[in-house]
Amino acid sequence: MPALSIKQLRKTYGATTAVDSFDLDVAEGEFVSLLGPSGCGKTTILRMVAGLITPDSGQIVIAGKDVTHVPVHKRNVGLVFQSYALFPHMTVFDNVAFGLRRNNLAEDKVKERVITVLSKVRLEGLEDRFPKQLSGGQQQRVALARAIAPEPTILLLDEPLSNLDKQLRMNMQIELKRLQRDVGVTTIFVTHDQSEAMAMSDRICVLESGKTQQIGVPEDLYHRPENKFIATFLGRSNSFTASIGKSVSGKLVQLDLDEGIQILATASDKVASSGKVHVTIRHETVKISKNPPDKSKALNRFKGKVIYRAFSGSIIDYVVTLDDGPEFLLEATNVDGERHALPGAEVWISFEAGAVLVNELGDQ
Amino acid sequence: MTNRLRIWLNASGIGLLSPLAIVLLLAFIAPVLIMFPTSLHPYTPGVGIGEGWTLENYVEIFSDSYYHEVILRSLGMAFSVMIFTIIIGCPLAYFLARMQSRARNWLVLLVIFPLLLNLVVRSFGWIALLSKHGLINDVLLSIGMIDEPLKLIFNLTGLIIGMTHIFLPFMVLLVMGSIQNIPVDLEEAAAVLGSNRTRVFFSIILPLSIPGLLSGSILVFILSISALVTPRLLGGPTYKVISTLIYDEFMQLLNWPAGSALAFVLTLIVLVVIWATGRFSKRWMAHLT
Repeated sequence: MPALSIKQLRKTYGATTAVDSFDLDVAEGEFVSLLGPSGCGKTTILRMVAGLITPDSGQIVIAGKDVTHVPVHKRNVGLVFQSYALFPHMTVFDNVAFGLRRNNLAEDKVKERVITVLSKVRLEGLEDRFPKQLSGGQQQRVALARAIAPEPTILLLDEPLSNLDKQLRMNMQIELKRLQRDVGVTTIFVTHDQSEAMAMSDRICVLESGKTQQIGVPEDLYHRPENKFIATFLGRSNSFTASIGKSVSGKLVQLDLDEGIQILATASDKVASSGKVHVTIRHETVKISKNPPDKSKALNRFKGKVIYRAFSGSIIDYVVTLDDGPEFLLEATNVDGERHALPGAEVWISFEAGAVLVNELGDQ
Repeated sequence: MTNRLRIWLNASGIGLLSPLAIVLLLAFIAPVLIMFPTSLHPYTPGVGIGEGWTLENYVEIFSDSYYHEVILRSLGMAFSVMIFTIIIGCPLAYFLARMQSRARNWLVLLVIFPLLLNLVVRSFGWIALLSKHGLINDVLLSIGMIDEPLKLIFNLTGLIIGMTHIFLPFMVLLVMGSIQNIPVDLEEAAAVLGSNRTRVFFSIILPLSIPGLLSGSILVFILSISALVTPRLLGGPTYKVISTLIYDEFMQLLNWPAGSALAFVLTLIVLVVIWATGRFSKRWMAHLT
């Protein structure tokens, strides 16, 4: 039995459809992210699961119980807000105890549980502080402690890390993930930050315009995108339109880019049919070198000129214009700390046939 | 003017307060200071302010049981009006503050509508409703709920009804402002943690709207205790509160000394109320913001 089962969920606001025929099953203890650009309906879904919004139609089942029409205060879910929503007139202790006291727990049990939960989020000794006396990261952890204290069946996180600065966000990602595994609570995480989603989730559900685009483990989404939207939404990539050319061998197929160059891609069902396709080549799969690379190592290789170079520590971004073709954006790892390939330099770029992601062109 | 003073005046921008300061000084502080010596003169019946100095006027206020009764009645009335405006005003303020629709502006206008009506017209309206042969008594008598007319006016009940009506807008507007500053997230967080709507109101909304509630309460209390026309009309000539008493001392008995002494006692009460609430709210606000 899934911990959470959502069936054919739908919500409209006037003429706009926020969520449309949304289905999702989440297993016990699983960490699932709802990822998508703003306005894709991910927060609406989360709020419907929490009971803060009533769906137009569809069903929400938590731990086998249909809660579609159960009021919010009887659902026993935990929710962490983007703003944390800590009660400013209560101490850390009272904030965390809030949900426990609503369950009519004896006061000594409340105290015991609050202390346990605060130690889980490493906030021992701050019980008597008020929220405004805490740093952003600490407030975040109080919000988390408050949500998990009543042992909710599902933990819902609404962009909880987006108000933290970058360094703190990385640390909180790790801490949040460890805590989630430790407590074993089924978690739905809403975010627009794809690297955050990929780093933390067991599975990701990518949404666009209220519809599921793809659900799967992060590696599948990144390396085997089911459509053009997923291919371009995740990671940084070069996008092209191409027509399918002749089959080179059983495993390879030639694609003629509209920009006038030919590349080789791995044959699959998607490239079997002829016609126009969408091609995605991720920045990090494109290699840059001074000398022409060995043909056996890289089936696709082109000569070009560096027009832009941006050094940012561990990686270096390049823009290379091919001699008779399009511009390529690529990302190289900083290996030796030298100033290679400055703008104007003649270089070779190369990528494997397997790095070429081919999808149906779609409407646009 | 010393140089340092000039620099301070420029830097603090306090000079900008001078027009208001001058008006207050001339129109408010000066009359008050002139009134104070008056309250220390004896009263000569038929003449007014007598010769010599005395504390008699103040002693009388603190020893005469009639004055005690009037002062207690005024305090009781102002306090009741304050409580009623809280009870009626808070739910209304919450409703208005959380309203999404554009109708809110119209409803707020409706709330402040009593303030736009002339004081006398409004009071006579209440007289028409509340008097012995007024609308309310007539209806209640005719449907047989009561056998004799209820005494709804020219007593405390009438004053409280009338004043609550007039001063409700102040409470609603101030509390509404406070509630609008409470993020909806907080209410939702409390609801998700198992609080029904009543509990959300009492554990989140009410404590966090204390600042508005306190300023509303002070305002309503002070306006009620110092109101003159409404108590005069709804209380009648014999049922007196401190402000109508002061008026009568001045205008009917020409007893300016006793009147001004009473006025200073009223001012003192008001200042004590403001000071006490200020202390309380300061302690409360320390946790917030």
